[in-house]
Amino acid sequence: MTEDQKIIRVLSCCGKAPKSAWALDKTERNAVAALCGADGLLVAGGQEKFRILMVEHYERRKATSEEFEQPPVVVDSPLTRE
Amino acid sequence: MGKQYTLGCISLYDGAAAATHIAASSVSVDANTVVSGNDSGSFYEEFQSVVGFDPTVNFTSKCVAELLSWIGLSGQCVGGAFDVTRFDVITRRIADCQSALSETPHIRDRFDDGLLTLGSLGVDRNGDAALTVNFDAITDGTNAPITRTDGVALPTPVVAQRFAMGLPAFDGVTYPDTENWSLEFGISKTEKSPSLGSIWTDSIGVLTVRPVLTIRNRDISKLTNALLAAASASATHLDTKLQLIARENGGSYQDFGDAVHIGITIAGLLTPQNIINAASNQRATNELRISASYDGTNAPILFDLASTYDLSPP
Repeated sequence: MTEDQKIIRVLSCCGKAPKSAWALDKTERNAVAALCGADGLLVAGGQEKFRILMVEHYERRKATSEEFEQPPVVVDSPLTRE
Repeated sequence: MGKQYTLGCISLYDGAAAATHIAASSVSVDANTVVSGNDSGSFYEEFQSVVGFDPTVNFTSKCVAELLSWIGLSGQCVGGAFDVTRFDVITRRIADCQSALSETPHIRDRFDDGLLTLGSLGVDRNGDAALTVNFDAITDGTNAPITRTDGVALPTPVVAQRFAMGLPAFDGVTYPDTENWSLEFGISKTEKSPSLGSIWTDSIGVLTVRPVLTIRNRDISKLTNALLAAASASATHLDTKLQLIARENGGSYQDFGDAVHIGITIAGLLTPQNIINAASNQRATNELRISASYDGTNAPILFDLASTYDLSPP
């Protein structure tokens, strides 16, 4: 599988759509792709690792964009649950 | 002079504010306006107020792959801080014989904040797969949840896709005689209520995701004695797969070896629901159901939107 395919598989395994990868930087893409197992499913503990990666991704974007506001909508999924 | 309108398209904007316009086969935008009275003993109502205004959009589209590339199983927030930044519904004005249309005769209803969720995905043996999507609009705290502009051009290009039923497999067994299947995503959301001092809701979230797949099958022998005795079988992402074959415009199907088809895997519990449904002069069918569940690592439903078509799934 290519890195793109791995990222899309990981996103799907975490209930996210492929477009969610649009703002990942190179380091984040590598980290997300590493969560994809050989069978195309998440590696053990992948949900939690993905959640942490997305929190860091969100913080990075927030720090680099003045327009980036705190989201008014919270999706209560395994990805965002505290 | 009267004006008449029909279906246009829907538009989704990504984080770079680039729009993708997607064909839909039906769209309904509901206001969900709530009016309350003072519950007095008066014969007629004498004091009425609007206490809620919560627009929702429900649309159905055959552009399954495109929409699933935007909206995940757990929903997709729409707003400036999210991966989908804006959602438009375009209604096309119908040209009539009274006057020529202007260059911008159409209507755009714009939603800058809200939540997109999957409703259901289904396909008949001889039809096209159709996906229903729900959108709940919210306010940004200042502005109304919907903004209408009367006088826009029709967007181009508009994405159009069609998918046919492919060979499915459940619990490792292929079901070539499947009549139809329907996947209800079973997404429940928080109750919407206006923010203080407002008639607009300012928050919504997904509470639970409980997808259920229903399969109607012609080959009733697939429901084996072992399955009846146990009344259930486990389905995993490695042995249960739905497939949708991409149709080709100007042809029949796109090449099975091309990564343009859709594969959907499901984990959960397979149970018989209807063992035989037979009537005179009709083909008998039965019905199976898979209640999807979390396998401890992966979401209950996984979408592969760039899949080759597998002639021997899973």
